[in-house]
Parts: sequence; C-alpha cells; structure tokens
Amino acid sequence: MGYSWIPHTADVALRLWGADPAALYVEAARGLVDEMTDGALEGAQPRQWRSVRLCAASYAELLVDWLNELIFWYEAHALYPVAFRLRAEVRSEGYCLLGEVGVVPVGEQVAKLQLKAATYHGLRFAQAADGTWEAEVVLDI
Amino acid sequence: MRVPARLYATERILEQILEDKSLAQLVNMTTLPGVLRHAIAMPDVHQGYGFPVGGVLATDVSEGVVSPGGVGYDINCGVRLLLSDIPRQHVDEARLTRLVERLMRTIPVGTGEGSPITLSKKELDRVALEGAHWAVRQGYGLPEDLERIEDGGRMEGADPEAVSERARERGYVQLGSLGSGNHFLEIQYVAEIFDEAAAQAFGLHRDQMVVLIHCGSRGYGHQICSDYVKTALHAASSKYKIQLVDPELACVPFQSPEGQAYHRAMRCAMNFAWANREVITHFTRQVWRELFGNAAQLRLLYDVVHNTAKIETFELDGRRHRAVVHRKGATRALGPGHPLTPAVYAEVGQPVIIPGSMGTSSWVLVGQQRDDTNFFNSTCHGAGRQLSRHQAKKRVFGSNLDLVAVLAQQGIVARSQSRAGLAEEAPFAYKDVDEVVRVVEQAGMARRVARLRPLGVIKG
Repeated sequence: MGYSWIPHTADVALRLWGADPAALYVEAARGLVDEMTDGALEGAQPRQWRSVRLCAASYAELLVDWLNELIFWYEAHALYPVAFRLRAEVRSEGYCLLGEVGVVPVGEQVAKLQLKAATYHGLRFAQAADGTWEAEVVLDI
Repeated sequence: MRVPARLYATERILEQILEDKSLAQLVNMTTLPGVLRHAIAMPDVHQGYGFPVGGVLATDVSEGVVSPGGVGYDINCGVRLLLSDIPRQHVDEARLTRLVERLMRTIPVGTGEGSPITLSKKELDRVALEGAHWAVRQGYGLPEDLERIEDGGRMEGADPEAVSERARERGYVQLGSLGSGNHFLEIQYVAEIFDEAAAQAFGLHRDQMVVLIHCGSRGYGHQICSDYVKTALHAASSKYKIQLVDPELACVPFQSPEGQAYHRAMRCAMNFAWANREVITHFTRQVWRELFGNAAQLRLLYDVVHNTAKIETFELDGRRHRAVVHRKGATRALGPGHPLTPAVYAEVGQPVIIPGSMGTSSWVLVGQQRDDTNFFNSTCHGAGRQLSRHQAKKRVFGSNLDLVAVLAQQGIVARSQSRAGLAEEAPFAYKDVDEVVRVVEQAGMARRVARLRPLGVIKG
C-alpha cells in the first residue's frame, strides 16, 4: 500500500497501489496532503471527523471526485484530511466511497502548494493480475 | 486528424518539446468536431490536459465544440504590466528589499485567512458580472485602467446562475490573492529597447522600473473548469456521441445547452480574474506610494489574458467565420487598426506581455499588422516548462543550491511563502524565454519592443 509521484512537465501525477480500492483513496488523500504541506502534517491527529458519501460512474471517476472534494475542503473550509475510516462499495448509485475522515484545521500550516484540481487526463484505476489495485491520476497545479 | 497541426519552434526547442506528450496532445486537438484550418502549438508549448499548454484551436461557432479542458483550469490566468516613473538607479538594494518584503506582507499569496476581502454571495456575483469595473467602482483601481485591459476588463454575457455553489464557496475568500504555482509578482526594469517608436507609444524607456503581475481566477475559476469538464465528459459520449481520444478533451457543441452554460460560467471566471488583478494592482500601488511618495505613479500598460475561449471573427476561404478561439496558455496579439485593438493602442498595435521566470528576462512585444488565420491572432504566453516540478526541486535541493542567494548574486531579491515552491519555479525549469520570443517574432506573430530584467520577486 502506498503512493509515489510520477514526473510530469508542469504538474504532478500520483501513482497509487493497495490491497483494495478503499486503500487507494486513502493513499491519494495522503499524497495530496503531503504535496500541499511538504510532509509537515505527517502523524497529525484528527481534531474532528467528517462523514463522506461520494458516488461516481467508475472507481476512476470516483478518484477524481474524491481528490476534488478534498481540495474543496481545504479552500472553502480550511481543513486537511489526516485520518480515514473509508470503504469503497459498488451500489445502485454507482461506485461509492463511504465513511469518515479525520481532519485538522489549516491553522499555521497554510499549503505550500495549492492544487487546482484532479483531472481525467491519463486517469487509470485497475486491478492487477495478483489481485491488488493500482491507479494513476494527474493533478493540476 | 480533421485538420493539420502546426508547431512553431527552433530545433533546440523541438528537442525539449519531444521530451513530453505535447505533440501527441496537439494532434489530439485536431480531432475535435468543427475545428477550423489548423491546430497550433506555440514555442512555449508543454504537456497539459487534453490540450497542451501553449495550444490554440479555433472551432466554428455553429458546427464546432467548446472544450473546458481546452481552456484550462485557471480561466483568465493573465499578465499585466505596471509602469513607474522611477529609474532603477534611484533604488538601492536596501530599498528594493524593503519594497519586496512590504509587498510580500501586503499581498496575500495563499487561501483562507490573509485574503484582504471577503465577499458576500451577492457581491461575488457582481464581481462575476462586472470584472475590473467592480474593482474600480469599489475604489480598488483607476478608471483609466479599464481601457488598458483586454476586452475592457469585463466580459459581457457572464451569468452567475451558471456557476455552482461550490465555485462560489471557493471564490468568497480569494479575491485579491496571488496563488501559488507559477504565479508571481515581479519588480523589473527595462533593460533594452528593440523598437523605439512602439516603446515610446507604450511609455517605455530604458532603466524604468516596472511591475509585472501574473495570476488568475483562483479557486473560483478552477472549480468552474472542474464542474464543466465533468458535465462535458458525460454529455460528450452519451448525448452528443463525440469520440474522445483523451477524456480530458471532453467537449460539447458550442450551441448546446451545456456549451452555452459553460461559456456563461467561463465569462464569470474571466471577470473574477480581472477584478483579482485589479485589486492586487491597488495594493501594489499603495505600497509603492508608501515607499516612493504620494506622487509616485504606477500606470497600467496593459493586461493580457491566457486560458480563454473567445468568439472572434476570421476570414477563411473567402467566407467570414465566427469562431470559438481556445487559447490555452496563449496570448491574443492584435495589430494596429484591428477592430478589437484597444483605442489607446489603435495606431501602434496591442501590447503583448511575455513573462520569464525569476532570473530570466520578460518581454514586451506588439501585435503585427497581419490579421489572418495563421495564428488566429495569438502568440506564446511565457517560456514554458522543460523540467517537471519534482525534477526542478531535486536539482535545487540535491545540489544544496540556495536559490535566494543565487538570485541575490544577480541583484534579484526573491521572497516566497515556501522554499519548495521557489525551487520548483527555478529559472532552469523553463525554456529559454529569449529563444521562445525570437520564434514568435520570426514567425510574424508579434514584434519585440522591450526586454525587461527582474529586480525583485514575490512567489506564492
């Protein structure tokens, strides 16, 4: 389970991997916060929990929606996500991410880098031959 | 490919372009319905989403599409240049440092706290309708600025009803802030004049101090793009049966309800960005007067726009066409006498402002006489990246480079909210802007007027 950054001329691309889809959404959020704060929030304890319920047409689109949701939380509510109790489910509404996210207020740790959006360019979300999951998503800076 | 693709470059720039996917993306642009004549890549082109950054595409208003990703996430990201009456010899290093640090304190770069203006919902909608005119009306700018902004600093046809609540929530607290990434405010001086007559018409002379401001529509515009890329993605395939070679090329017919809604919302973001640059100009002028006295002026030369889709008219094969001109990381350049050239520059041509990167030159050019579909009246918009942000950061930190000290040795005072942010924008991360601008001139897109050198930099 983890994430890494793939070189991209102007922006950043995240590569994610994990045992199940939910793990990838957690890694994506961790990568996003690390990139924004240069790792300053590592080990931060949540101050409050917010519930999440997002549904999309595919796991890949859900990844874009999820990252855009977190970018919105930062800009509109001044919150960083730092802890996760999430599950990914296929329901009648589509591919859904449900659960709770532990957050901390932005406070002193104003983002070193503000991200504009997660994009559909080069978007990938798939199960590998060994049963684990992998994804890639490009973020606009 | 429905039309040819055109790229303007030198051999050296071409080698850099071949390092990423921008050429493939240029070819992808030519597949869109209703595309006119050709797709163009400027010499500063680099990989983007769907369209490369530095891409220009015109589509027919009646039969063509509009692509939110082809405009980009930072709608009406743009550049403006303010001209002072102070020669650089009057400003020693201590005073320059004071100026940069005071600007850094006064102009917020980030989000949330620190933004000087919080808008009510009603007032944000007024910003979206009125653009720079709102700022002037509120006392954040001068009436004479308005004739020196592309389209007069206000886009007609904006409709806040087409903007989501989410975009509004991102916009409330961000007016008057610079943002991070490649956005900056730079104190510069005029180092060299190439065209005396045009320089005189623009009020540019050697050693004059100037201020360059580069920023856009912030979270408000980013969210509008995100919202409509998603709308277009779903409508393109299901409703309009448009085959996309890259989902980020998502587009809808310009005349469709979705296309019209996007265009009305995009115009709101354009107006927001103009108000944003006008407010930042106001704060810059305040600091300037505090340091140089109440009589010290900062006159706006011009404000140019990147990341738009505008309706313009061109003659093609003997027929007048109304076109949706997507300029993603490209600048409009109009020659003298063109009906859209602002009245104050009608005889000389529209100023074109091309920023460099911290340690390098920036340029002022002037639009050329020719008005045809070679470039759809466009030029490049900057130097264009050649290294990824991670590569740039690795090179700076890996070699223990103190970028602030390196720039200081060149007489440039740089201040940034973040060391990493500064490193990612290191001058070597970009193409040679002088070479990019030479291509622009040789191709006949615009003519060089003046070269500017940096003295002070504020980065988000």
